[in-house]
Amino acid sequence: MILLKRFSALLLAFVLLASACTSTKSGFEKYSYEFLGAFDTMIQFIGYAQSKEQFENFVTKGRNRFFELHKLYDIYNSYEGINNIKTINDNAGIKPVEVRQEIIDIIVFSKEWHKKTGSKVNIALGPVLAIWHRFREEANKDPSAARLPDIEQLKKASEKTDISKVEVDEAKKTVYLREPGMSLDVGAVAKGFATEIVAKELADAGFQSFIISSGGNVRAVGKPMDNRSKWGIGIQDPNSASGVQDYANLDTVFVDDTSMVTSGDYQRYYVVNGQMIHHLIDPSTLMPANYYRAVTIMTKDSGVADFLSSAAFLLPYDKSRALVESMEGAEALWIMPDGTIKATDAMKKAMKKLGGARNN
Amino acid sequence: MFFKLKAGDIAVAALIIAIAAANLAIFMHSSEGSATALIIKNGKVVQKLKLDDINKRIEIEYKDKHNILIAAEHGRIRFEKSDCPDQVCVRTGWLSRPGQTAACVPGGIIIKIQGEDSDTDIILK
Repeated sequence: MILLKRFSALLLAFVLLASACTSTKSGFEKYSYEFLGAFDTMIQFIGYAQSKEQFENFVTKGRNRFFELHKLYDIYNSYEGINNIKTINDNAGIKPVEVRQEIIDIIVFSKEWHKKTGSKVNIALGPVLAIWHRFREEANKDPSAARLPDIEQLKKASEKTDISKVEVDEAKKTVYLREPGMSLDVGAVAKGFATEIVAKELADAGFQSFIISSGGNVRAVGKPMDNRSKWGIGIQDPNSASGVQDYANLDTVFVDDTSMVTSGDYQRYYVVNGQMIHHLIDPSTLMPANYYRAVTIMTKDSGVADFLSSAAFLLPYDKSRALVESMEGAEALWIMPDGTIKATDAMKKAMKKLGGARNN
Repeated sequence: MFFKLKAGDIAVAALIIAIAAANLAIFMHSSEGSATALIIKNGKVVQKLKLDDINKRIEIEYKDKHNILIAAEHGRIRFEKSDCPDQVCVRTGWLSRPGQTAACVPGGIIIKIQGEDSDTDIILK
């Protein structure tokens, strides 16, 4: 009998062990959902909830909010009954436009962070970015027609990019572009800023453990409700994104309650004479910046992370690193053109391969 | 060390063994992750492919707003061609591991490998 009892105990332990390997905290299950149609990217929700219905309630709320913010921050389309960023652009040099608080907030934020981060990320760069956008889309439709825009054309457009002429009246809730021909492009910040708004609202509504991913922006809220203490965020290898090899992760970073945003050269680009022409434009040269393949920023606020990743991408390494180190609570990872990886100390410590981090 | 088993003991032992076996089977199945790819169009799953069961290359074409070609081979799947203006889908390349995704935003199509990676919740790209 003793043997049998021991045998049973062993089996029982094994049963529990086998269950524990995949177990979530009592009453919680992991769910995921992804959708297209907002911010020109795929948005994913991953989260732990007590039921499928509870998860669906949260993500429906989040999804609706993303669509609403997309309309507000849209520079290409107009919507019935909504004054959005396109409305502001359409009224450049004509009149101030009354807008919702979410638009006032993103413009005030972008003006403030423009100053704080070396003046490289400018939401008033619209006229220049519109030219690049057109050339990129034409080239991707017909690669044989791929060419670079004329530098004189870019220079002329850049005369209408003075961010100090973007006037915000916070009391009246209006925005005015003082010169005709000016236009805002919030592409460097809108996804991250919107993601932060949605994440906060869902957390306030009671969602405790989730990740939102919106095209290069990841916002992790709380901790995973299983036997791990941190979330695992995979960093994509820029070289695997060319479509030649299987897409692979460079490393995994273990984090909780923070944001990670990557600015990279490997998704939105076109090719001229064998050279990749990507979408991150340096306002000083009016050409794509080529200091890195990618820069990833880790900091709590997703809007800050998005803005900072663009700024860090547009600065040479010494200045880029100095900028990140001057920001409290910000960490970064730089992937250099030759594939070398550089990272701030706390970023490195959180990385599985580079820093030997574990997630227990 | 000889003893007699009572019927109850045997029943308990059998039950425990059965539970253990079932657990093991479930555990092995979920961690082995024979990759299943989902093709999601306009929010609905329109195709489920067991990638490990594919022996000959499969090509699936979607003609809608854009002409999109998806290719699947043993263990992997990708957007092969698309006439959309941003090409991000094609550049994502081959997907083979649980949790990996690729999306053609203008075409409204997502490819997703079902299941979970043991230590990666999401891929930042």
